[in-house]
Amino acid sequence: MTSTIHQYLRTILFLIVPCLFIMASCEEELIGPQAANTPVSNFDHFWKTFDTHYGLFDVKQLDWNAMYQQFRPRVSDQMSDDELYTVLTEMIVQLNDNHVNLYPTNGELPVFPGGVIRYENGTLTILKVQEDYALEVVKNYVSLTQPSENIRFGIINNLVGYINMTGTDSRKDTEKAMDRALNELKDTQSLILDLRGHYGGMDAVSQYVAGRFTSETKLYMTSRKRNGPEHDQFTAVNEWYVRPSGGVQYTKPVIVLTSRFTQSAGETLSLALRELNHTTFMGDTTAGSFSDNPNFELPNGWIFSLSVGDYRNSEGTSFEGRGLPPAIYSKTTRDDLLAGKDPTLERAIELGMQ
Amino acid sequence: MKKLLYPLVICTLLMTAQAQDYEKRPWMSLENRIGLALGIGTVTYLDKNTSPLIYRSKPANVRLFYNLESNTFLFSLDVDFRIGSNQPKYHPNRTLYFREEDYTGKTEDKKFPAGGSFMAGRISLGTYYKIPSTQESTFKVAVGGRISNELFYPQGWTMAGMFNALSFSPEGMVQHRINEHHSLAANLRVPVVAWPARPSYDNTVSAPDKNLVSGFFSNAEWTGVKKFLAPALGLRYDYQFSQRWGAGLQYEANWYSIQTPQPFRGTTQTVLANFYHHF
Repeated sequence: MTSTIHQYLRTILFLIVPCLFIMASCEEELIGPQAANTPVSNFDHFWKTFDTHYGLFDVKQLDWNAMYQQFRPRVSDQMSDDELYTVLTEMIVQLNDNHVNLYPTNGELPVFPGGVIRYENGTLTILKVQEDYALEVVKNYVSLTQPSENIRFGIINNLVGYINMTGTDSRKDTEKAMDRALNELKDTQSLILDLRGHYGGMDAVSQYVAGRFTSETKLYMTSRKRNGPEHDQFTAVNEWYVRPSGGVQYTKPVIVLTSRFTQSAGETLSLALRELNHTTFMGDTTAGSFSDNPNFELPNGWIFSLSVGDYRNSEGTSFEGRGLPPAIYSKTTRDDLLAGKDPTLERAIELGMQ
Repeated sequence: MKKLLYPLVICTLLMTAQAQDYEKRPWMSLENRIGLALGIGTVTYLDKNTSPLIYRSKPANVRLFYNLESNTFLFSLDVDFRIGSNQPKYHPNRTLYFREEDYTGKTEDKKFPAGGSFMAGRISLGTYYKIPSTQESTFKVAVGGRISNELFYPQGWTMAGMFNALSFSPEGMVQHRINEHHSLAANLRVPVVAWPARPSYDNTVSAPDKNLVSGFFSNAEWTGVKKFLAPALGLRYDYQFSQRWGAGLQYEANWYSIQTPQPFRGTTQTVLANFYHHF
C-alpha cells in the first residue's frame, strides 16, 4: 500500500512540480517587467498618463509640455515621497479640475483632492470642506423618507415637494426610489430638487432621473473621450438626450438647488434639467467637473484620477473648470449652518409656495 | 481553501492504496462522468491600459464538470469559478489616508487598505473526435474544439485586468491508461477566434442610454491570435477507486496576451483535486 502511494505521488510530483516551477520562474518573462519605481520614473509616468489620456487640454488652454519643463527639473531620484507628493500636487493644481485626485498609498500622506479652486484673502486655495450645505440642517425644515441610499424626499407645508440626492444609486434602486418619491409628491404645487450634496455617480442614471421631470425629448449633452496618445485623439461624439422615463413625470415648477460641491453626475443631471422650461436653478455655481475620471496607477503604487472626456452642453459649450451658474444666486454660509439655518432652502421654499 | 484541499488530497491517495482489490472494470471504458473539482492557484497580470503594476491574486477555484463519451466522440462541459483577494505584487500593503473635515470644523483621519478582490468565471463546451486505435492500446488520442467564455473581474481602485472573452479553440488531448485504476491525461488548446471585451482606451464604460455592462461589451470585437493569444495546458491524473467513483489531481496553466486597447499579459496556474461519479 505504501509503495503504491509513493509510486503515484512521484508520478504527480514529477508532472506538476516542474510545471509550477517553470511557470513561476518564467512569469515575468511571460507578462513583462514592471516599470522602475524611482521618483523620476514615477513623475514621468504621471506626466505621461495625463499627456496621453487627459481630455481637457484644449478646454483648459493648458500647455502640458510647459508643465513638464516647469516641474521636471524639481524631481530627482534622491527626493523623498513627501517631496514628490508636493511636486505632483502643485502640478495638477494647474489643471483646476475637481476630478483630478492623487491617492498616495504609503499611509502617511493624505489623499489630495483636486477640489474647487477659490480665491480667498489674496491667495488661491482649494475648497475642500463643504460649508454651504449640510443634510442635518435640511432636516430642520423637512422630515425625510429615504427610499434608497442616495435619495431622500419629503413634503414642506403640504405644498412643496422636496427631493434630496447625494449621488446615484443603481438604475434599479433609482427607479424604485423615484417611483415612490414622485408618486407621493405628484400632488404638490412645486418641487425642490436639492443637488447641493450630489457628489456624482453614473451619468446614465442621472439621464434617467432627468427623464422623470420631462414630457419631451431634448438633447442636453455631448461627450467624447480620449482614444489615443495625441491631445486631439477622441472617440466619436456621443449625444445624450433627456426623454420621459418611468411611470410618473413631474412637470410642475421645479427649483434645483446647486452648490460648489454639486459635481460630476450631479452636474450632468443639472445640464439635463437646465434644458427644461419648468426648472429654476438656485444656489451657487457647480464644481465644473463633468467628465468621467477613471483611476490610474504609478510604479510606486500611488493611485490618481484624471478627466478623460470632453463634455459639453447642447450648444457645444464646455463648463469644465467653471461650473454651471444658477439663475438665482443664494449662498448659505458656515455661520448659517452652525446656527441651524439654511437661507438658500428658505428662499427655495418661499419661491415654491408662490 | 488550503485547509480543505490538503485533507482531500490525502484522502484521495489513501483511497488509491485501499482500492487495489476492487472489482476490475472493463479496459478503457467510456468516460461518462459528472464531478466537482476544488483547487487553488495564482493569477498574475500586467495591464498596461491602466497600470504599470503587476497584480497577483491567489484565488480559490471551484469547477463543475460533465463528460460524455461515445465510441467515436468525447464531449465535455466545464463551469469554473475563482475568487480571492488581489494586490499589486510589489506593493501588497498599500494604505490610503483620508483627512476629512466638516463645516463644524471637526476633522477625522481615516486610514484603510487599498485592497481589491479578484473574481473569474469560465464556461466551456468541448467536442472531440477520438482517433481510432487498437484494442490493446493504452493511449487514447482525441482532437476537437472548445467554445469558452471567460471573465476576469478584478475589483479595486482601477479596472486593471478586466476582460471577457468568448473564444473558439482547437484542442488536442491524450490519455494514457496505466492500469485499470490509474490514468494520466494531457491537453493543449489555443484560441484561434475570439470576441474579447476590454475597458476602452480611456478606461471608462459609461455611455448614454447604456448600463455599465452594455457599455463594457460595446468595446468587444472579433479578433484572431494577433490580438488575443491564450494558450492553455492541462495535466491530469485520475484514479478510479470503484466502478462508480473516482478522484484525481489536475494542473492547468494559461498564458494571456491581449493587445486591445493596450497590452494585457497574464498567467494563471491552478491545481485542482477532483471527485467524480462515473455512469
